[in-house]
Amino acid sequence: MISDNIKYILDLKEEFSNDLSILFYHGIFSDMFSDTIVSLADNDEQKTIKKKISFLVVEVFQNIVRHGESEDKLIKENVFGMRNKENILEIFSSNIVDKNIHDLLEQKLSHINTLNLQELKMMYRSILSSGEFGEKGGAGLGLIEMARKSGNKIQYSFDPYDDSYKFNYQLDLSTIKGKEITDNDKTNIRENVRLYSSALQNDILFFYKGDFKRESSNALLKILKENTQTYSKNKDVNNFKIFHTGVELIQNICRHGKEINGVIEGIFSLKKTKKGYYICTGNYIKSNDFSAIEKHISKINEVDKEQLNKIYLKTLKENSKIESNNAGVGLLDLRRYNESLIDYEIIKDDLGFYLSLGMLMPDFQE
Amino acid sequence: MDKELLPIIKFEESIGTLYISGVSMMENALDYYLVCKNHIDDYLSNNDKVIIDFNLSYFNSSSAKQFIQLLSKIENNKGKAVWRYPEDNIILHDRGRELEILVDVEFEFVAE
Repeated sequence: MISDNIKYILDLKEEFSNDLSILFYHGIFSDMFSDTIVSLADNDEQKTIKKKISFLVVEVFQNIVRHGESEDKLIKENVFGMRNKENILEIFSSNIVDKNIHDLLEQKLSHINTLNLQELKMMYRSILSSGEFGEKGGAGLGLIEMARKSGNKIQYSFDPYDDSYKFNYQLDLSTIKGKEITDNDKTNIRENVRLYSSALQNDILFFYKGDFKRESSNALLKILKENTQTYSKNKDVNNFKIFHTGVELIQNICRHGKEINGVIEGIFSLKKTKKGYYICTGNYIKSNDFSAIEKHISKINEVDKEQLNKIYLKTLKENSKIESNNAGVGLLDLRRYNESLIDYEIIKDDLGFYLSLGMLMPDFQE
Repeated sequence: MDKELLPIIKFEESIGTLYISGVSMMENALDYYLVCKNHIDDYLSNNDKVIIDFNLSYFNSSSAKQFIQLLSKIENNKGKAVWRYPEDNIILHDRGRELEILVDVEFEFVAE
């Protein structure tokens, strides 16, 4: 029987089957991540487009950092998302704002969206020269710049949230130079609000679907590294388990994932559950020998802790005689540290065998 | 290359010591540790012993395999390993002990 967690991954795989990449992020928002996130937007965009993406991601991140740092309640609702579709990159953000900010934003955004690029430029200059901007960018310079750089109207919506509002906005950017996006090409923001809210409700902290070649895998590891300290309050043991599980599973995809049209497509997700954290991955596998993989995992699942330690050491020793990056002990190692079973499912479709793996990292109590 | 994922490696010839510190979590550990292996081989062609001094806060399984290969070069009395770990970190201590079991090399454990 497929576990609920794995089923969720397979549903998302289906839902995002037309996306080149998608990222959902609900963690620490610090400016230092912007570059890493930009590298996950991926693809071979031209330099000018890359620069725009970089600018927009940094700007959206800064807005979250700026508005979401005061109260816990607010941080819990902060979401950043990025979807790369055929010719469009969508950058999405959601955070809580109070009524005053809501009124101000509503007024500015509705005005900005009536202006064309030339008018936006004029407005930007006039605010700069009049010196009307405050510390928090009250004059909306950031918003104007977002509208200018994305070259599209800013999609936004406000949803009531206690006494405040959840402010959602989305920037749509053409990833092909000189090609304009029509309204028909765009995903309506309501659709993305639905998707990202659902991820948040499912306690997803991080979700990525996209390429897992080395550069992207490394970007994921960096994000995981910075966040692990905050995911768990319980010191070294829990942090190690979450981090180590993430590293080994991400690198497994990088190493064993099947490259299709120049991309090693995979999924990585980290979620909070009542029992602890849960990491789940999905990818097409290079090997067609799926029964060998099934056998390998079910064997690991069967043995007890003491045997696991023995098998781990024996396998590491034997494999160290072979010249390759693969130590062949990753799953064994995770199984013995987490002391939970490896959930897995292999399905077959037109592109090959798709392996989903999941593992619970139970909260370690001292 | 992504520095955040790589250890700091230093080989001090004057005292025959290879220092590996920080994190070691690259996917292509084989390529990365090739230089270290060559250093050890070169040094041992003119000298008796090499000390490998580990001071890591994290390493992945691909790195563990490379550590076994490095350590196996100093088996049979051709050196020793120093394994530094944060005093309260049982996991890192134990991961060092496991390497010790797998090779015939003297290990010195230092809690820091």
